[in-house]
Amino acid sequence: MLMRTDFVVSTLLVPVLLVGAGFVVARIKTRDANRARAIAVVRLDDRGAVTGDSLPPLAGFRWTTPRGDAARSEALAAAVKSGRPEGAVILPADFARGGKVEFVVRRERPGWRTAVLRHVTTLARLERAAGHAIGPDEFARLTDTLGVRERVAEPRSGTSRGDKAAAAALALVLLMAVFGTNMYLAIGITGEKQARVTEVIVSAISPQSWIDGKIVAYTIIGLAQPLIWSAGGVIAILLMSWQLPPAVNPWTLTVFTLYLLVGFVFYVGLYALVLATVKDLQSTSKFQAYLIFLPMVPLMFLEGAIESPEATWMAVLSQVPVFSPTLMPIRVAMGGAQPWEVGLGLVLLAIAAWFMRKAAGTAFRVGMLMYGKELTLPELVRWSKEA
Amino acid sequence: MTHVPVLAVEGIRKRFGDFEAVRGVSFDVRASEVFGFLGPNGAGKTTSLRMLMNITRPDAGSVTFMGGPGMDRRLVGYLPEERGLFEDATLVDTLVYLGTLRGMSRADARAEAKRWLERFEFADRMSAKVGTLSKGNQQKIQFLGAVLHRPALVVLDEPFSGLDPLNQELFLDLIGELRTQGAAVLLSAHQLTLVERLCDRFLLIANGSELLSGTLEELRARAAHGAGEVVRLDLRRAAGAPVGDLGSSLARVLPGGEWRAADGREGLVQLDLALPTGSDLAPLMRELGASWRIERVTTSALSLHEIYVRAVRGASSAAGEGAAPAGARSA
Repeated sequence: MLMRTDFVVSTLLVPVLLVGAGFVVARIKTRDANRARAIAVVRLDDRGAVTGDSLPPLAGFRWTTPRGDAARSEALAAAVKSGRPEGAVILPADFARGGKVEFVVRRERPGWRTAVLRHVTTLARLERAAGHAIGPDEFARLTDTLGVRERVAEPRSGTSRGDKAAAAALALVLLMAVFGTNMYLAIGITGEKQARVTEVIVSAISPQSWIDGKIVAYTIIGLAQPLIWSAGGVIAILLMSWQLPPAVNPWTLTVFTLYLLVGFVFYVGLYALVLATVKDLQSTSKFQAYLIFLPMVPLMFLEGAIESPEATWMAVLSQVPVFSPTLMPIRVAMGGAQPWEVGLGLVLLAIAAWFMRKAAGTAFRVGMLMYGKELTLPELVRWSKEA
Repeated sequence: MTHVPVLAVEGIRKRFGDFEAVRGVSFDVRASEVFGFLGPNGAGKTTSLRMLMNITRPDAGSVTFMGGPGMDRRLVGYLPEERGLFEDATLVDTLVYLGTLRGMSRADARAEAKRWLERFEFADRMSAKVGTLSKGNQQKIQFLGAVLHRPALVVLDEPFSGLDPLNQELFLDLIGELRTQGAAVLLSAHQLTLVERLCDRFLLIANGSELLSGTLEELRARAAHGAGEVVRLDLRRAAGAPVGDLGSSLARVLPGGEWRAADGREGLVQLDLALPTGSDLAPLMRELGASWRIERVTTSALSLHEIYVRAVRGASSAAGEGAAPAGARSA
């Protein structure tokens, strides 16, 4: 299985695609950030005529001053719609005294609006201050922000941004491994049922042994890829002499590895349970489909785990087996989990994984002979008692 | 010396909801014996076999293997009714896999697999994928998978299904070999002519219950009210003879007897009569001779097919489901 062409290709190709896509996106963002945006500025006098004045310079922006018909609101809207300029600002003579400033934008809330509005607001305040004989220097002194010094009672290790990225990466690695394995497991279980080989196999080994073998084998297969990717990523970072985020330390990696391993067994057992009740992949019921997407649910709490790892609700949630493989390593990476919490969560997860494998074995034993018929939950309960 | 049977089944029962599929079936299978396990569709044969193989568990009763509880899977070979192999696996890999499931080492399994594949003329196709074989050849591979590890007990559920006559003969030889080598073979099949040639003892079930059991001679003695042989008469209506009802004639001579008449070609009527072995045919001949010309008389022992049909119809009749009368005429 590990030497199958599709497995090898996906192991090598996916990181290249992801890294490549990341570079392209980063390059586009950098180019975008460095590009000066062209904004048309139309300043009107008391009679409503275009004065031809512009705004004070602002980094990242290039002001243009259209005249004549090109300065009219309709013409500006047509020009903005065509993309040149990106937007327009129309300032009446009394804009500093409460007059309305008009923005001509292509779509609502463009990215440049906030910066230009702040710039125009500063200009308006300066004009008002000048009206009260307050010069620019005095105005700047009056509007200066407060100096703040922060004393942290329980400092977190490392840079915040790198920690968050590492924490998110931990969650994604588990998710990718689980969903990547799902396909192979589905073929392995339902395919054998459709090929009618299961009766021969379970006449030789117990259904529980059969399903245990599936869980062990597909755990190994499923973990191979993310471990290869993770190791490759770490090696690449070290080769480039980049500094690993402080969150990537031996304790975090240990917790991550343990939770990845046990959590993976839990999820593979869950998938085995669902797939043992399925007659073929085309006829998966809604209930079964919801269960298959269960590993995605913890992602809804990803931000909470990163921003509030010490919160009580997060501490409780990270003990629940469905959530703990994703949330506990993140809490540890963010410095928000105590060692005893880690141990407790791991024990609960291991117990849940054990029960999941037993349930999968029962479902398989009961459902394997029901060719052409889906095994429903009430039937599973009933036949489990009889089995 | 009393030999412990390889397989002993005592009163096994199985219920699925309100439906009782197996109702107290008992039998045993001995070493160096082929035991025929027969019954119509839906009789409970496959359910029973799955209970023996511990694929499903009986609600009541016991299954002992070599005198002890539980089945040692390494000593049992199983060919299920539902065929299935990994189509992407090669022939030799498939057999090695099935052999190792039964406790063989990979080396032993590979050696045995190659030996059997050569014998079955698959020597040049060992690396071929199972999916490239015809259905009959796939069945051979699955059969080999059931016997590769030289089991003490071989359970074969419909082994002849879908095979051409040549391959049927091949399987007959193989099963006979298993018996010669000392294995106990439990065989369930609908090809009764083949089963009759092969099996030493039989158990016939219907509606989950036992109907008949024993050797073929014992079944003949018990079937059809003691009728042990079939007398076949080829009749042609005598020229100028009065038109008489065959049924009435037979009823006078064989009250309560079993017979079946079929219209053959060119006015020929074939009359089959189930009679106790050694019956006096003279009265019958005199009665028939008045209206018919008897062109041929043959006698044969009641076949397993005849026994089976009579027993199952009798059981259906007793169950109130309606069955053919003692005498019946068909076109």
